[in-house]
Amino acid sequence: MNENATKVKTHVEARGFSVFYGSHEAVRKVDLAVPCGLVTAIIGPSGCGKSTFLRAINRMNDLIPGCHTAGDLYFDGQNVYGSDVDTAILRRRIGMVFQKPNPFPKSIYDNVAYGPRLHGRHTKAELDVIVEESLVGAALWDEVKTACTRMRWGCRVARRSGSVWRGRWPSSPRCC
Amino acid sequence: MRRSFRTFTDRAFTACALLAMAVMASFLFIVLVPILWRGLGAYVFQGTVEHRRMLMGEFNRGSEESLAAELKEVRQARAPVYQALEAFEKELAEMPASRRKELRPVFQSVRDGVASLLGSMPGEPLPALPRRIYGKTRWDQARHGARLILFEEVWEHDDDGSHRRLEPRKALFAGTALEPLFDLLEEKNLRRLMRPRLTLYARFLTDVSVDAHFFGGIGPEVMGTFYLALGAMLIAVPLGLIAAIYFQEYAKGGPTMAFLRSCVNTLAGVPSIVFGLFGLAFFINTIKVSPGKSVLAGALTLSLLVLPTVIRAAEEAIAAVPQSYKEGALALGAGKWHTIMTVILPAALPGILTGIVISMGRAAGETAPIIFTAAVSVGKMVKASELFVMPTPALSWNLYNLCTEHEAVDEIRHVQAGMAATLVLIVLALNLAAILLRARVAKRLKGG
Repeated sequence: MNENATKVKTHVEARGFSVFYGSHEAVRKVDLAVPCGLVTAIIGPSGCGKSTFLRAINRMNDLIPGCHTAGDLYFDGQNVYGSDVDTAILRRRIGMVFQKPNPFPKSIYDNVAYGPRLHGRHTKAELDVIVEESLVGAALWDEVKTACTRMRWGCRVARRSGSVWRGRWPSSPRCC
Repeated sequence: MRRSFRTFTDRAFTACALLAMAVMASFLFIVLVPILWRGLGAYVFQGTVEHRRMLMGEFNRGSEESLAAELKEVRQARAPVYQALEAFEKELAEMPASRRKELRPVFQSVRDGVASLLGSMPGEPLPALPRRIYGKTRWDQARHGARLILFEEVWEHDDDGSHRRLEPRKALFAGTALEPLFDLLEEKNLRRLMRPRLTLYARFLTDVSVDAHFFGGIGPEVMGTFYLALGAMLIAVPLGLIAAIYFQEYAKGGPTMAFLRSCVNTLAGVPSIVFGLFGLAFFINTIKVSPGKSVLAGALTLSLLVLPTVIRAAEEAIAAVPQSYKEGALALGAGKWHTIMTVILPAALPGILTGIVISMGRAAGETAPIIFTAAVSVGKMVKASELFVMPTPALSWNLYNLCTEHEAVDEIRHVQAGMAATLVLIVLALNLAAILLRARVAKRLKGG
C-alpha cells in the first residue's frame, strides 16, 4: 500500500504501533486502518488500551510523563509522530470527546465558542451563529436559552455541568 | 476493648481540638478587642475647645463664627485663672524671703501646668511650637493635666519599696491670691474652661501630624504603608506569577529545578531583619537605586520578602486546576501558552489573588525590612513624584518609634493606639478579602 492510497482510503492508519508507559507496553503492535466515511468502533475489556490508543492519535499522551511510542501512525497520510508535526494544528483537526463531561469554568457561550475562536473566528456575529447552531444541534438550545435568558449567556456551566452541556464544539473530522 | 479504646481516642482528640480552638479564639479576642477599643479613642473622643482651635489654626477647618463665639465664652471663663496667677505673682514679690523661696518653685510648676492645660498665656508672645500654643485637646488629657496642677506627687521610700502619694497643693497656698485657682480646676469648673464635646475625628486617618504627633493624624504613615505594600506587590506579583507558571507548567524537574525550589523555600524562612540589612547593603549601597532610604528601596526589599509566599500560593492555585481543563483545551488544539492564558490562569486566578492579598497584608505589617531601607520617624506626606528618592513614614515602623523613642511617649498614647488599630484593621481587611476570594475559588472548582 503506498502513501497516496492511504490518503484517499483511510483517515487513520496504524502500522506496528505500540504505546509504552515507561517500560510497560500498554498497546502492542497495532495494525489498523480506519476508513473514511464510516463509523469505526474499538471494543475491548477495561484496561486493554482503547483510550490509550485513541489518545495516541491526537498525541494527548504527550502530557503523560514517561509515555513514548514505537511504530508508525498516520493521520490523513501524515505521520503523527513525525518531527515536523505541530501538535496544536493536529489536535485542531482531530476532535475528541472525553469519557467524562469536561466543560471549562466559563459561560456556556464561551465554552462553545472556545473551539471556533481557536480556528480564528473572532467576530461576535459569526460566533453567535455558530454557538446557536451547535446548541440547537446538540438539542440543548431550548433548555439553555430558557435557563439563561436572565443571565444572557453568563450562566456558568459549572452549576449545571453534565446535564446541560455534555459535549463541546465539534472540530472538523470526528474520528473517535 | 479495642473498640472502646478507639472511641476514647476519638473523643479525646475532639476534646483537644475544641480546647485548642477555644484557646485560639480567646487569644484573638484578648488581643484584638483592646487594640480596636483603644484605637477607637483616636477617632472618637471627648474633644476640648483646644481641639477645635487646633483644627482651625493648623488645618483651617471648622466654622469660624461658632469657634469665635466659643472662644469668647472660654476666655471669660478662664479670666479668673489668669487673674489669680497675676495677683499671686504680685503677692509673691512682697512676701518674706523664706516663704517666697518655699512657694516660688511650686508656683512656677503650677504656672507651667496651666500653660500646658490651657495653651499659651494671653498677652505673651505666641510660642513657636504648636504644643505650646494649644492646650490639651482631649478631655482625658485635660483632666490629667488638671490633676497634675492640683496635686503634688510625693514619693516615699521605705522597706517595701517606693510609694506614690498625692498631696493637694491647695493647702500650701491657703489664704493667698492663688487659692481660688484650685477650685476653678476642679472637674465641674474645668468643663467650663475646656468645653469637652464628643468629637468624631475621622480625618485622623488622612491628616498630617502637627508637631511630631502631638496633634493631627497619621496620614503620612497610612500613605507610606500603602505605597510600600503596593510597590512591593507591583514587583513581586509579576515575578512570582512567572516563576509559578514556569515551575508548574514548563519545568521538567531535575536537580536544577529542585535546587531552585529549595531556594524559594529557604527564602521564605529567612528572618525579616536579614532582608532589611540585605536591602540596605544591596539596593542602597551597592546598586544605589536611590541616594538614601526611599520608598523604592523599601518596596524592592519587601517584594523579596513576599516573593516566596506569592510563588507558593500561585503554584498551589495552578496545581489545583483540574487536569481535565488542560486536556480539554489542548485536545481542541490550543497551544500551551494559549491554554495557560485562557483556561489555567482564569481558573487559578482567585487562588492567586488570595495569595497576593495575604502577601500584601504581610508587606503592610512588616517593620524590620523597612527600618534600613524606607522608613523615617517623622516625615511629610510622600508625594507620588518622590517615591523613587524620598523615604516615608510607615505605620509599622512609626508605631514602634512612637512607643519607644518619642520625646513624650505618655502624651501621645491615643496616637499609638490609633495607629495600631488602623494597621490591624488594614491587615484584617486584606485577610478578609483573601478569605472571600478563597471561598469563591472553592465554589468555582467544586462546580467545575
